[in-house]
Amino acid sequence: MSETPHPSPASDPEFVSELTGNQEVMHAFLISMLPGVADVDDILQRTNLVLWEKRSQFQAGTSFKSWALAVAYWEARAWMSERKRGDWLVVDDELAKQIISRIESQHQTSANAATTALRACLGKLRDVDRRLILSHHQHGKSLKACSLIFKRSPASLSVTLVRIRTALRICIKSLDAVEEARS
Amino acid sequence: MIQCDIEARIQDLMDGKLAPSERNALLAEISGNPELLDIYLDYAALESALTRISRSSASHQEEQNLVNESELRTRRKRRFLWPLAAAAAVMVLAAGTLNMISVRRHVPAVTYRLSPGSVFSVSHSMAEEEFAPGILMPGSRGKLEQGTVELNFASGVRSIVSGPADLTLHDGRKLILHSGNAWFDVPHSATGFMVQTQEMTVTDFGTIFGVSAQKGNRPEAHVFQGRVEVRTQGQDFAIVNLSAGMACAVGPLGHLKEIPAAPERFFQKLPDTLPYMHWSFDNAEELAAANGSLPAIEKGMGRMDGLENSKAFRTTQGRFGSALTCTADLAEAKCAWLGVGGDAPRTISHWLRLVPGGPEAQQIVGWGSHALSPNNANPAFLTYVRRIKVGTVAGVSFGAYCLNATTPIDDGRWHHFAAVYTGHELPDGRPELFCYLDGLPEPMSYGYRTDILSPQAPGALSVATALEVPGAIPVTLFPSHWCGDGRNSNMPLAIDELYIFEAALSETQVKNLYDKNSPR
Repeated sequence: MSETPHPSPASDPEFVSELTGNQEVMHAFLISMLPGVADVDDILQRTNLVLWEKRSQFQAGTSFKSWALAVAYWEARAWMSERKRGDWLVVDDELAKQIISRIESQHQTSANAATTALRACLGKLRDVDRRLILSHHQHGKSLKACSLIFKRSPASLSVTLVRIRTALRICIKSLDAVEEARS
Repeated sequence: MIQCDIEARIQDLMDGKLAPSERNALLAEISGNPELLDIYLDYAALESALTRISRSSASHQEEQNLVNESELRTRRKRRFLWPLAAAAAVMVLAAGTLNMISVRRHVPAVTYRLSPGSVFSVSHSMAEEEFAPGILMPGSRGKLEQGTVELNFASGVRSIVSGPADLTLHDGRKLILHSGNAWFDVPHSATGFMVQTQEMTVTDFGTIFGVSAQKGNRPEAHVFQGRVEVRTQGQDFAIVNLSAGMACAVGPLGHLKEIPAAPERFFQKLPDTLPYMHWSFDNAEELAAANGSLPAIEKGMGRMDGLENSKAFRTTQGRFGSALTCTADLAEAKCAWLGVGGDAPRTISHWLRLVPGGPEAQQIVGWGSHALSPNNANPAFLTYVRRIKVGTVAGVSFGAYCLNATTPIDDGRWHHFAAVYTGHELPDGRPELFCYLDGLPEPMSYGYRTDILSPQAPGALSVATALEVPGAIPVTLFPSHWCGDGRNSNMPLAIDELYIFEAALSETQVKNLYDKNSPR
């Protein structure tokens, strides 16, 4: 009787490579699950810890991304449960399934590519716009802090930020389209 | 127009600006519309990328690294190559060879920069290649004799290593710390980063942590943010997960013991000087206060308890500003800083004013243990004054081994004395030490406790200042009943501008201290 070969557990170097290679995908996924929540970084850390502790369960050759997204999903649910923040359960199961399905179907590095493309697109912005969008994130998205730095009203900055982010999204999409056409 | 509105609302959602009812309505719209879902996920990815870039921009001036579109193609290709290169590197190393020529161009390098006065030498395992200064490649080994070095990994990991330290870059995701103190800030994108010492491996989960592997001390891991896994080496390994505020040390039998986290042990940014503490005694209101570049300063560990509100001490006119003078009471003052340990280079510098006569000897400043034995003959470090035939001279001691200056200083005037231990041994086995009196090299006469030391024995004169053993004292001014001290009162002397450096100062730097009260 012949035995079906079982996938073997990934070695630590392989596992670390998968783990580091999917950090951006997992981070973006958690943001989509919990938009506007400041604790996404903490949840990502918890997810990383669970993945590391369960690394012996990961089989080399299977989809690390699918496994990591599933763990991240349950860590996000656990976080909401711990805080008894039912009102934060903004993404219902149906939408969560759609999000996971969409991210799984994306190219392995498409979320990582966002960072590289974003750098290029930031380089095309006016200096003042680039400083504003980065400063907004560095200061915890505080319009008040940016208002003091840039000496503009929060309402005016808010409008400008929408314009900048919309422009960045379009720029990244166009770079992705060019890249796909070249490859 | 409608899409513009949707995009603005999605951005508001990401910023947490929507009310629950608006949020739910928007998500319901997205849920039923694949096109909107794509836009939503675009903004989630943009949000994630902006977070990363803005963080690295804050600490690494990332804006200077913005690339144009043509460079983007190159970077993308490199990114696809990197996992393959890393895997190849692991395989090559596992095969026990350093022949990494086929993969090293794809392995991210580490760049480094030094604080002023640091001494850092780098050797590369691939001797046939020339590497630019300021670069470490896999296999590069760096020895930091003194000072601090900042390592910047391509993955975004930032580390500050303080000397003396000895390290090898395994690859972009692993640093081997043979000895030294190192602090690490690891971004999420570099999760899994490892630091290995001889006794343990620390694996990161996107954190800020420190690793201490100082010679003669137990290795330690300290976590300041996030979590790490600590695993001891060997078959009977122990493993523990540490979270923020926790620390552990590897015990003598390889077990892990929880200890208090000590952020004051680690530099978190590159200082602009050599590491030091300085007591000026200028401010009568803050007589005990210290300043300097050591991180322990920020934790108040340089404060000399016992100086203030003591009738044993008062201020007087000093060489630079005010000075501290001792009355005839027996008293000492000590701070929480343990001092410079092991055989690390160090310098003590101070001004002294003595009148003729007085007790036979008195310690000025010192730390460590004075439980002397033939196997541990030099576990202390201190300066002192001692009366000899020609008058009272300054001196420095490692424990059972000491050196007296030859020029008397008990003339009622200010004299500057500096003792510099380089961390090296002389060919005859004695520690290399330079002493300076009033800014000039001072001839010293050597002496040792013949009841303890047999200087002919190999290694008998080795310096091993013991900081964390029973009976050891922290940095202490006029330590009493220590080092065979039988005084009944303090010598009537004055001291000014006490400096302790975790480095061996040069003759020029000592002269600058004498002339300008600054090593620069």
